[in-house]
Amino acid sequence: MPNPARPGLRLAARDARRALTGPGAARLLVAALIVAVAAVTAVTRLTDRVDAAVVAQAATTLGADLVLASDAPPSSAQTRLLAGSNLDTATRVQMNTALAAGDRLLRVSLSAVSPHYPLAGAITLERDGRTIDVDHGPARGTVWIAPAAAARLNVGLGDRLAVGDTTLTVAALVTASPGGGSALFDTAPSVLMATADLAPTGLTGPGARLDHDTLIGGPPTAIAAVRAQLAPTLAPGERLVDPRSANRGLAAAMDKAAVFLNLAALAAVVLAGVAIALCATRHAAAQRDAIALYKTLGAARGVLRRLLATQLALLGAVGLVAGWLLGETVAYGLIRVIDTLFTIALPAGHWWASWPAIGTAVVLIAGFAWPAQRTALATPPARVLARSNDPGTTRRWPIHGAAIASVAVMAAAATGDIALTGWVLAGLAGAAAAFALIAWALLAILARLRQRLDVRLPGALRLGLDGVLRRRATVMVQCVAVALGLTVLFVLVVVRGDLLAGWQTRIAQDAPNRFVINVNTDQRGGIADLLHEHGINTPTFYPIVRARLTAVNGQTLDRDAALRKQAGRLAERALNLSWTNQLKADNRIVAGHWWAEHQTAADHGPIKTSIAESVARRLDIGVGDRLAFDVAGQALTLEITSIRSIDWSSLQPNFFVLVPPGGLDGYPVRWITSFYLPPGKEAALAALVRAYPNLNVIDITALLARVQTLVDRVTLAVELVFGFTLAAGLVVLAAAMGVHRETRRREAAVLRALGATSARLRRAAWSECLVIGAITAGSAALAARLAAGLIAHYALHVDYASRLGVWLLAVVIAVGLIAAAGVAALGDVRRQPAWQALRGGS
Amino acid sequence: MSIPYAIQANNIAKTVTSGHQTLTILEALDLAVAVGERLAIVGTSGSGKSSLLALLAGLDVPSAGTITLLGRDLAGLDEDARAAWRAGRVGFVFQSFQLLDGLSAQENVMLALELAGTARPAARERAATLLADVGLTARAGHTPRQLSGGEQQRVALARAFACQPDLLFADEPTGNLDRATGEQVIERLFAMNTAHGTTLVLVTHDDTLAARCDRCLRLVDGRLVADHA
Repeated sequence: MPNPARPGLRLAARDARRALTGPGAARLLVAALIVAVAAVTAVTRLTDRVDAAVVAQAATTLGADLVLASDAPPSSAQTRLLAGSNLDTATRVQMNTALAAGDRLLRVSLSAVSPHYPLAGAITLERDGRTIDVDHGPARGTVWIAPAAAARLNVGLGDRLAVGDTTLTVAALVTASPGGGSALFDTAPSVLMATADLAPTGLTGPGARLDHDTLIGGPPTAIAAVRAQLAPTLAPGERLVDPRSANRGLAAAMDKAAVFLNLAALAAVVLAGVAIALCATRHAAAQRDAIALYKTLGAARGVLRRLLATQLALLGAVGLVAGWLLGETVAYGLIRVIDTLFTIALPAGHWWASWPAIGTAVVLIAGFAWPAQRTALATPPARVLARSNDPGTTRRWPIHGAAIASVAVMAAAATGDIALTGWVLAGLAGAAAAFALIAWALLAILARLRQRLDVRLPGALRLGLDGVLRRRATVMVQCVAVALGLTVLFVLVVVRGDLLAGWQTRIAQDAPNRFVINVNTDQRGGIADLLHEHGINTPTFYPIVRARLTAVNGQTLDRDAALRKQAGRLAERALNLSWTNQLKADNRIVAGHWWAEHQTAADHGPIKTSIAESVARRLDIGVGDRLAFDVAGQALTLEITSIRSIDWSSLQPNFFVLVPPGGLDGYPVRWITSFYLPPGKEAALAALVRAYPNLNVIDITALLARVQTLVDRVTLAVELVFGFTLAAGLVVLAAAMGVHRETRRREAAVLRALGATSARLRRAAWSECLVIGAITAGSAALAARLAAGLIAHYALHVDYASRLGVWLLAVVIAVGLIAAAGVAALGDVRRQPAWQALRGGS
Repeated sequence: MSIPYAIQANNIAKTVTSGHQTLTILEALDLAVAVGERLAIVGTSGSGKSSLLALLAGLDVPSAGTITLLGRDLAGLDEDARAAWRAGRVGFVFQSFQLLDGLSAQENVMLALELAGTARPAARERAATLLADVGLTARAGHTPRQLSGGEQQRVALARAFACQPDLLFADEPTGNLDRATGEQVIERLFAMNTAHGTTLVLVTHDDTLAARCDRCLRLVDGRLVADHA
């Protein structure tokens, strides 16, 4: 029984093998696919493992993989659930209280921890001028105290401290321990003691304000499971804290790095897509003879469709496997570079990190190659009698449409950002149209010049120009394709350094390394003067008014359980409100309007507020909605006039809720400030603490150093990933030059038969390729400059200043490379004996 | 059910439009080819010979008129249906051989069989037999580039007869060959045609070759000007 499907599969395998071993475009197509798959594999493998490492390392800061935080001990149901989960648990009870040593009193943050605390990370103790890490809390009857607190209380090791109704012995100086809160400012415990000593202190009686943390540790899947089980049991005032949310600054920096890496990989993939589309078009054209023959021999369209699809799938499989292997190898190298960032061993990657590479191969084959390949199906069988029976015309819009859709899918997957995807697509479409227009205009000018100068032009240049003008339409397509790729390359080659430098500079120079909180209004001048005396720039003070969210658009949280649940932490903890009339550089208005610079709350109407985007999203509110707060027993209603996105990676003080100056007059206010303390100026800090004992100074030098190292390593990773983009660009060039290979071969043969020397043909080829290179590189440079500005402003939020000299050099190099690549690609065409090219045309 | 004619063409015409101009390639042509008959179509370059062959074989569709191929009216059949009707029933020999470069001589012959649904082992065996018939057993594993023109055309002959077609179309089969080689190929073509009892439609500009057919049809500028036995 005949089975028409079987020959399709066999022939496809044979055709794929033939295509891979032959001189056609299929090999280039597979090469492009390898580059794209390798780029995506390398980046996804890298980001997957680094993301896991960020979470794991953040867990060491949090002290656990998950924390159940509340203002009361966990319920019996939660305790049972945790007991049944077989996960490690520990407890920590935190409070602010006063310690006494003799006649000295000091308000400290006191943590009572169970013996197994911490479950992740370590407590760092200072002994004999050295630091040591321990993985347990203090023994019963002892306390570990921060050096600053010890200095203020004038106590040393072995001294006794009064803690509530009991006294404990100072057994160690603690310099760092995993924090329990979700914010930077919660990570500075001053005193650690054992949980068993807590009850005798009498500090836990009725009315005491205690934070109860239940630390949970275990494998990720078990943590995810217990998290899902705990979530429905959370009562008001309870929340679950994970490492990522507890390290928002680091997570934001890592997310930005991931977007940049993904964009670099996307660039390589889009370039590879362009190359694949060009190769597939040429491959399809080369198959028209065979398709016509198959049809003549009785093959139905369905069989041929299967044949072409299977052939492409086989080529795709080769590209996927080879690309995946290459990507894994590169990822391995990159991970070796990156892993020194972390103090922990990089966790193993996830198996699903391979899916993006497979998806990329599928999208490239289905979106870029198949639409071009399937045009061969339209070959009329009468082509076997004469090629002139095949007009060879194909509808282009399905090819272009599928390519655009594919780019959209991949951009959305790479950025995870619809707006950025929109920009990428709009940029591509706009650039393509602009390139076509520029190429058309320049070719028209060239045609006039050619006509006017005619015989005054050198012979080889005339030949070259004629070559360009004869293929004007296709040269335009070629210029657009290569210019698109070149634009991405320009952005990466020329702009990359500037953009990354901008990002690094901002973190390095602007980032403060000390935060000072709990500043009284009348202390600001003195603090500024003191710092100034020590050569430290006068810091900016930001007011803070602590307030509890009570209602959203008139719906009170106390009476609306659903709203309370939706509000989550916003309803459970006091929020920091602040006022200002200047929008900070790391804030961006995404909805509504920022108030005028000199406007105050008293100007007119209800008090305006600008809220963080995350708050708006969580409460599902927007401009015009109202929020009510309780500020020290007084009601405060604010009307939202704008929503801000906040760049947390700037590590600057930022606030969820802002009002114009005057909006919080009459409410109790404290101030926060931050400043950069250069190395060697620690005396300033000591003087500050001595002069203002109520201040709480937080040192984030270590965190900054980690972020800086992260940026440095990620920059290196981006540069390595950029190698893929460069490789993809070269494949595009090679593919573009192959488009007219057959036509050029015949033309060269005719010219040689008519007496043109090799040297003359070579000069003509250089002329032609230089013209194409100049049109392409010139328009790509303009587009890249524009794209760089847009990316800098909208995606990375950094300033970009272009350097003309660098751009000119880049254009000259690009023109030279394009021309050289073109001439090289056509080399064997020129060298081929005329008789061979003129015979048979195959 | 037996049919008297392998091909019947009634009042067929072919025109093509290029821009605002309409070019008439064939006009008002009637033709009937009896089963087992050898018909030669002769004419100068551009007279419409190959276009007529394309229409008769169902490779192209006429602008007007009807064609019945092996008892099946081609009118209304789409390209797929026409291909399916040809499969295994119609063989072709082309001037430029139309062998696939990457395939060996044997694989090129097997191609026709495989597309007709023949199992691979049977196809391999049949291809070997046919290559032996055309004297190319020793060259079965060679690709077209490794074969001379005459050898390539003999492979094409083997492929044309692979499915034991009822009807064979040959388009200038000696056009790319020197005289001696061309004669050898034609001898084999006629021998195989006789052996298989195939109806033959031969397009050529060679009157000597045409004279060896049962009937000769002469085309001038798309018109049938002579139809003689």
